[in-house]
Amino acid sequence: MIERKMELKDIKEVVFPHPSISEIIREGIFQIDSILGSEGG
Amino acid sequence: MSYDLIVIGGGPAGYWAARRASDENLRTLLIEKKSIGGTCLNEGCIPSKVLLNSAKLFTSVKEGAKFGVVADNVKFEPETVIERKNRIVKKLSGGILNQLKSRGTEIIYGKAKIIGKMDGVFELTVNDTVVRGKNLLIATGSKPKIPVIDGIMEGLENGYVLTNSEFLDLKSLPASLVILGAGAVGLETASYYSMLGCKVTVLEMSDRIALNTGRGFAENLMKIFRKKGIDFYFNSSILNISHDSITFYSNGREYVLHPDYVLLCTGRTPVVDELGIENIGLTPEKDGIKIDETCQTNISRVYAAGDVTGGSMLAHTAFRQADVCVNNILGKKDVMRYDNIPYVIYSCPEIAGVGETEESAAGKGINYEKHTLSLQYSGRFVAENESGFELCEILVDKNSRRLIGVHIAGSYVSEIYMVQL
Repeated sequence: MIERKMELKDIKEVVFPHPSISEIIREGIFQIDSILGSEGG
Repeated sequence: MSYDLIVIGGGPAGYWAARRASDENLRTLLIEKKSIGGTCLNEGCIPSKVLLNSAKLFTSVKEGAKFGVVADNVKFEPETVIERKNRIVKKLSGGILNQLKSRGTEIIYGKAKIIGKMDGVFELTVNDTVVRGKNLLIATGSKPKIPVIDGIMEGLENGYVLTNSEFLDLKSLPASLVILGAGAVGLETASYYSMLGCKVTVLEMSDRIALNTGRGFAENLMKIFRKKGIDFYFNSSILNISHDSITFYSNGREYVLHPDYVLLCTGRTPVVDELGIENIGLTPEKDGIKIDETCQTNISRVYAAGDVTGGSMLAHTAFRQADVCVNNILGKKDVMRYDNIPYVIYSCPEIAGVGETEESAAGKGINYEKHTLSLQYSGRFVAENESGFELCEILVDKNSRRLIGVHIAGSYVSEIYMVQL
C-alpha cells in the first residue's frame, strides 16, 4: 500500500479477511479518513 | 418517524452500513430482531475463534516438551472456555453498540416487516410502530441450511443433531462426533474437537474438502487432516439419523456410525421469509436477494448486503458490500468486485488464499504455472514448528508473468492478506 502510494479512498476498498488482526489497518484507515474529512483523502 | 436510511439486520453488513451512514450524517435506523453482531459475532466467526484458540493453546502446552516447555496435568475446561467466549461476544457486541450510539444511529430491537412504498418513501412496521425511510438496506443474514434427511428434524429436537447455534455452547467434550460438511465451518469444527481428543468423522457429499481451494491443494490438505486423526468419507449421502446413529453411503458402501452427536456444517441459507419484500415488488429467491454491482436490488433505493445476497457469505464481503451501498446512497459511484476476495479457514493448520485456483484458472483459459512449496522454506515456520508438511501453492499467468493466485496452509496464514492481488 505504501510502495504503491495508495490513497485512503483506495485502501478503503481493500477487503481484509475477517476475523483477522490485519483488520485493524482497515479500521484505522476509516477512522483517519473520517478525521481528515472526505476532502482530505 | 422518517429516516434517510433504514437498515434491517445488525450483522456485519447492517452494523457497518449503519455506522458509515451515520458518519456521513444520514439519519439512520437499524432494526435488529435478536443480537447486534449477527451470526458472525454471536454464533459464528468470533465464538469459533475463541474456542479454536483455547484448543490450539491446549495442544501447544501438551506438546510443549519438544520446545522445552513441560507441563503436567494439562486440562481443558470447556465450561471456562464457553464462559470466556460469552464474555468476549458480550464485550464486542457492546463495542459495536457504543460505536453506533456515539454516532447517533437509532436502534430498534424487533422484527421488521416492509409494508410498502408511499410517496417515494418505504414504510415498515417494527413492534407495531410504522417507520419510514428514503433508502432501505436489507441485511438479514442467513440461517443454517437443514438438509432433507430422514430423522434429522427429530435429531434437532432431541439434541442429537446440532447446528453451530448449539455446538458452540457444548459444555462437555464428546468422545466422538460426525460432522456433515467439509467446508470452512466443518473443517474448523473438526480441528477443534480433534485437538481435544474427540474422534471426529467428516462426511462430505462431494469428492473433496475445502471446495474454495484447488483440487490438488485440497488433496494435500486432506493428508494433513488425516494425519491428525480426522476421518473423511466422500461422495456421501445420508440415509437416516436415529437417536444414536447415522447411516450413510460413501462410494457405494453403507456405513453405520454411533457418534455422541451429529453436527451440521452443511452451509447456510439467506433469511428472507416474513420480511414483506414482495410488498415492494421484490421477489424472494431461494439463493438470496439479487443485487447489481452497486449492491442495489431491482427496486430503486432498495439495497441488500451480506449473507442475504447469497454468494460468498463471508463477513468481509459483507463489510465491503455495506460500504458500496452507503457510497451509492451518498451519490458516490462505487462497485462491488468479487474476483479477489480472500478466504480463510481457521482450522489447524489454518488455510488461506486469494485469487485463482487451478480449476478457475483453467476454466478461464489462463495459461498458468503452478508451483507448490513446503513451508520449510520459511525460517520462522521451522523455528516454531517441529513437524512441518504444511504447504504453499502459487499460481502465475505464464503469458503475463503475473501472480494470479496464492493458497497457503500453515501457521498464521489467516493474517497474510498482503498477497491480495
